[in-house]
Amino acid sequence: MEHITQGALEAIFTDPDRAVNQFPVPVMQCLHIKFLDNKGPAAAGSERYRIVLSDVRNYVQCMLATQANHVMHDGQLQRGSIVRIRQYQAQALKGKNVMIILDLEVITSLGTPDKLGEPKGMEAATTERQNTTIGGAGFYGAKSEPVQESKSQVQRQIASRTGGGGGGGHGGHSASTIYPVEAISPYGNKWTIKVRVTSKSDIRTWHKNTGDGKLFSVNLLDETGEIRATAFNEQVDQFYDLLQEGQVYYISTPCKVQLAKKQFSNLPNDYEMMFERDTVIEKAEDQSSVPQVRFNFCNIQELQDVEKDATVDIIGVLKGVGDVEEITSKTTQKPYNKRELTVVDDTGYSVRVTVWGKTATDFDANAESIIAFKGMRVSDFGGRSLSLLSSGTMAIDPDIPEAHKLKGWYESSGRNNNSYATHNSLSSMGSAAGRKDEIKTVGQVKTENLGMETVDYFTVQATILNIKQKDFAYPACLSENCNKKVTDMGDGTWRCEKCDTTHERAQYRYIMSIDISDHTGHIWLSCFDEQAKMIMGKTADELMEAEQRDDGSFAAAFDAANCRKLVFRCRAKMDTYGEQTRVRYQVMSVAPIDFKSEGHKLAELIKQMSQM
Amino acid sequence: MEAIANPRITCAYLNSYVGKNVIVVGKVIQLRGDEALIDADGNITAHLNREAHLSAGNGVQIIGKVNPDLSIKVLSSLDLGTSVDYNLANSVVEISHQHRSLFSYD
Repeated sequence: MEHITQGALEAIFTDPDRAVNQFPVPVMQCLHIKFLDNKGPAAAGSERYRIVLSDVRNYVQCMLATQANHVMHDGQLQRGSIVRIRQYQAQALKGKNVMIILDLEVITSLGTPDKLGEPKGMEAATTERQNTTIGGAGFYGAKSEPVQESKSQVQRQIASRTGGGGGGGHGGHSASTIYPVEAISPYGNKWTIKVRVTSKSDIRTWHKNTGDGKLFSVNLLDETGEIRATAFNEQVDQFYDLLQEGQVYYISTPCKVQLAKKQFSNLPNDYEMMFERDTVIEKAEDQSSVPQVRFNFCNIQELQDVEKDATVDIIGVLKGVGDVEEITSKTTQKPYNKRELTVVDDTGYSVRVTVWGKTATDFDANAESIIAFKGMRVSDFGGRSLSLLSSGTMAIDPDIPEAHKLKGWYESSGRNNNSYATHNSLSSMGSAAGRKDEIKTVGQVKTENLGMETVDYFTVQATILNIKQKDFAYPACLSENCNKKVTDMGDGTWRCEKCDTTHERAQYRYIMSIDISDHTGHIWLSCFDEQAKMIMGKTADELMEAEQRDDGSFAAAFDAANCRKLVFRCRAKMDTYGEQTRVRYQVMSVAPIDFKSEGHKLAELIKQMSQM
Repeated sequence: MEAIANPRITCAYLNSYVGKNVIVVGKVIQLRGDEALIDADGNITAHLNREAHLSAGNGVQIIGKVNPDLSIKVLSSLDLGTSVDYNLANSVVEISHQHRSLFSYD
């Protein structure tokens, strides 16, 4: 009982300011959960839950916003659970008090006790709420009669659906109650939303055999969510000048709501709106009660779980700024300006971000400033990288809590951290950094025909089975940078054709073939001097001498190198050798295994597999 | 090879293996004569044998028998130095218990 904030509900509905001060995060018990079955047309999507919350003294009906549905999906929220309400909207709907729960956290440690206390229903304080409404006539001014009538119809309709979908805004402006953007769905409700235009596109025209047309679209935002709206043909003329970016408007039905075409939008809403001739759009008197921008941040570490081509928002510290580059698109021949930035965050990960066009050329944020990006497309280039969409925005040092948190983290530990993890080797468990870096098993190398069509790079972790002891090195020219094979002149001197010089001795360089194997198969790789030296632990010259001495040290050297398990980074490409064309695998670099990180990756993999 | 291998455990699993030989990887917290306090996701008292040369703060792999009072009588110990990833070691223990059928523990 002691955790529950008794009296919170009373405060929320009678004195919201006191509620915010005294009960910033109300804690209540969930008495009842009901799943609202949407027997609507077509659309899947809005599964809504109605829950009853009690603060021991009172109980109230609530709708769970879809963004908070995860507590149902996880099975966390159950009848009797004690929950913290992190974000809510309280409304009075025709005599009944209801709440929309935008964010809630289940205190699982408290379990699911039986109903605590004897809560009574909240009496709606109807008089107070309505005093804050602006009279219908006064607000709509010049609007014609039919509109006003439909507004009062709206109110009655919404009121008759108490508990379903939630109907009002904070102080109820105008005769109709304001819907949260969150609740917009195709189910033929009449609604009014109060939203800010966060972005407006240009008018685009198209020409097809069926006809021509034009359209423009806007992104609309309120505290509960964002939704995209498009105007076609006549509505373009009607609304294009009216809707300005950054301004707040009331938009009311009729307006078509349909499933969102995700490829045109970077917003997470399942639905989008299409303006109709009778859609009502009015500029709002009160421009401030709607948030400016809404971010849905993903931290950089989580990016690896995000799919390619998805849209995310991120916030991070600007660690590196590249120069502006101009590249020409191969397909359209158009020049583009781009700039690469490196952004890190407190998960210890860094990611490459590309900005384009004006954002790139006008970029002047200082390194170490906090940048928030909205509308970034995730790509799997180099593991994971981000590209700012043309519809996306960037805010430098925004005044939001996440930015302050990052600043604090950076000051204390982030600044000194020089090694941020990257997602560079994401396709499976990577160990080496660097681009050309997909970890494969030997089996995969063969079945995927790496190197057959293009040059492929891969990394494989395997054990050396065998090292070819014949022809493991060749005599090379001693001159700087010249590694060409020199010919034995017979009298102890060696001649290099390329440099046209003769040397007294040759420097032997490795050209070693090794057979490596893992649990899926074995292949032969060829190593050049640097890598082979690392594997053998001796230079080629030393090994040649050992062979000539023939005292067993030669064989011993090979034995020592054999059966070692290493990480090989290789290049596969087709090679013509005489008449044969085969894929040859060359070792670019060799490294010992970092057991710790490999161990962690294996543990991760096992965990993932157990969950499947 | 033995038919049954000694299980790797941490503090939480001591109960299930009383009287059996186990392997524990942990950090040496304290050394007191013949006894050592090892942290393996929980504290374990280890009764050392003659050959054990442990250093406080280092990682150690202990093979020993679990006494009824949940302390371990050490049969063999191996100093692992300072750069031990205890999270990884604990993961190994957990995973090997989750997938018992793959490990010949019992």
